[in-house]
Amino acid sequence: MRAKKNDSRLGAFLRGAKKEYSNWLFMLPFIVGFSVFVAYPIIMSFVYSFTDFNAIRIKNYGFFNYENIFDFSAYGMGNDIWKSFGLTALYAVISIPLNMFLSFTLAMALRKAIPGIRGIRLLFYLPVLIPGIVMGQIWTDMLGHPEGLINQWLGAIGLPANTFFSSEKTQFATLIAISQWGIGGGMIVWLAALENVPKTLYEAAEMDGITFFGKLFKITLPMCTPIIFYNLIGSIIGALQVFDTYAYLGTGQNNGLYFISIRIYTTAFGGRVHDYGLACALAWVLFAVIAVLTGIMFKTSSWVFYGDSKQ
Amino acid sequence: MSAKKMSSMRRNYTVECVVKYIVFALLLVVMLFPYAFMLNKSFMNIVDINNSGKILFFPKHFTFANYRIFIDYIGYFVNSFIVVVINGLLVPLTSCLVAFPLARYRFKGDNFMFTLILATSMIPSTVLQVPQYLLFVKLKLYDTLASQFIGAFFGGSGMQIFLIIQFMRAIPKELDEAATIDGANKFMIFWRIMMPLCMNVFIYIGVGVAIAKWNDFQGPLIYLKTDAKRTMAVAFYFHFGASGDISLMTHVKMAMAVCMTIFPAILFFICQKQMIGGVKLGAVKE
Repeated sequence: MRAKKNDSRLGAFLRGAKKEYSNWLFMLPFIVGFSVFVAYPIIMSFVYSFTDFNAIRIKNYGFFNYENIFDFSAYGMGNDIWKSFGLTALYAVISIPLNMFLSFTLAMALRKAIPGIRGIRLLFYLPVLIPGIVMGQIWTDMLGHPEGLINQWLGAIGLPANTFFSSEKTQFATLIAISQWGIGGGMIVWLAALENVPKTLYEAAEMDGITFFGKLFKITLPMCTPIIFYNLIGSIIGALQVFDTYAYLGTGQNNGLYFISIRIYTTAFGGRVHDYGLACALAWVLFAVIAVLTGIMFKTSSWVFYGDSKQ
Repeated sequence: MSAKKMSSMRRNYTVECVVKYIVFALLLVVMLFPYAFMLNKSFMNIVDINNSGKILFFPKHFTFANYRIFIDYIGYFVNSFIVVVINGLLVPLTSCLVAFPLARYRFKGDNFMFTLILATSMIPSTVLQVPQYLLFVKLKLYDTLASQFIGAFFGGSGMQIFLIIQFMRAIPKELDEAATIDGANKFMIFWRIMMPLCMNVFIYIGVGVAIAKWNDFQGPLIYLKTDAKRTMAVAFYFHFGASGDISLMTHVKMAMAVCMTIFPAILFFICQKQMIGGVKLGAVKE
């Protein structure tokens, strides 16, 4: 009797384990990939960040890379490095809200179905489909100074030439401006979100005589908050890793577009000296910044409205 | 509603449409200007490019000759194509595999895996860059095309898996319960029931990955050293970029730019139903 009971327990356990092991079988590719291509490199990267690894040998261990990053004396690289961090942060702080606002406005305008709306939406999306480095070549050609097409046209209508990418003062604003040609990407996400807002909500509110802005702030935006949140996290992580500008602008005039991911790349692979240790330390500081920001985002995410669905 | 009111509403609608068309047309002129610039320039010959210092917007001597550059790029195109196809098919497939048990079953460690997957999406690629590079050198993957698609065999990024999990969670549970009663095991449920229902998110992620890989600059820049092994994006950078040897042949550059743009455009247009509004976070309409 006792034996039988035990047996059935064991059987249940085995059945359970068998049921569960198939779950892990599905996740096996991810687990292997994660261990080899993420977990191992991340540990090694952390270790390297405390060394002077230069692709050939490691001589010293210590905190010197981190000390160098925060060394703001005349010979230290702290100022240069934090200029890169600052530029990257500035890029994120300006381009993300601007992009979100513009793409939302565009989506609102393109929301209502009028004849040909699908085609119009596609046309707005078209610039997004130009590969970043190709788009960069088009812009640098078009905005050349002093004899690019745009400057020639400015001259023709009597306006002074703009330096665009060839001056430290204007290059940043120019980059922000040209990145707005990508609002079609955000627009698509917004359109999907807007389509998900139940029509009944608007109908009910319209009975109560709601205004346009009332609808916008009391229905549309709250219902879109999950997508805003998802997008915001994605955009922050993406913007803090901006790199492709390196292909057509290099590090900018007077290193004014020397974003942190570009600096990490050039520190590790760019020059004749491969400073793997410093590159890893820089990457870890960037990681810390991203982790803190994402943590804050999640902690303060009470504004995200998930409706009455679970989780 | 009176006929008069109806006709005034219809007139209002017409006015609204016309105003919108005008505004959209003006905006599109601005938005598509770089496109037009690229296209126009790709049809110019060297005389138009020089044109005694005055830059032309429209070509005077229309020519297709610049597009012959693509013949030189067929090798790079094949490289890009291989990378794009393998990633575009395998990343969504392996991501679906990981997402399936997490979305449909509860088991020991499921929350841990879910958190782990979400956490990976926060890791900046630069943190992994140096050790990954050294690992690839050790595995003899450096300077091989495989370096650009090996990762696709092991699941996608955290955000992609998360998206699929949300999508799968919304599929009614009754479907696999019925299948289990009929004697189907998990793999049959995954393959016969979940995968067909996940086609939209599969395409959404596959096309997104394919386009991202086609455009990818950083990965091939680090891993592909030999010119013949390069993908189109980096080959374009090395030949036509600021320090490239043919960077001043802007008409040829723009012809190549058009070629680079065609692939993502075609892929997007074919799958536009899925790409625009086809995927809604965590919502499958029955």
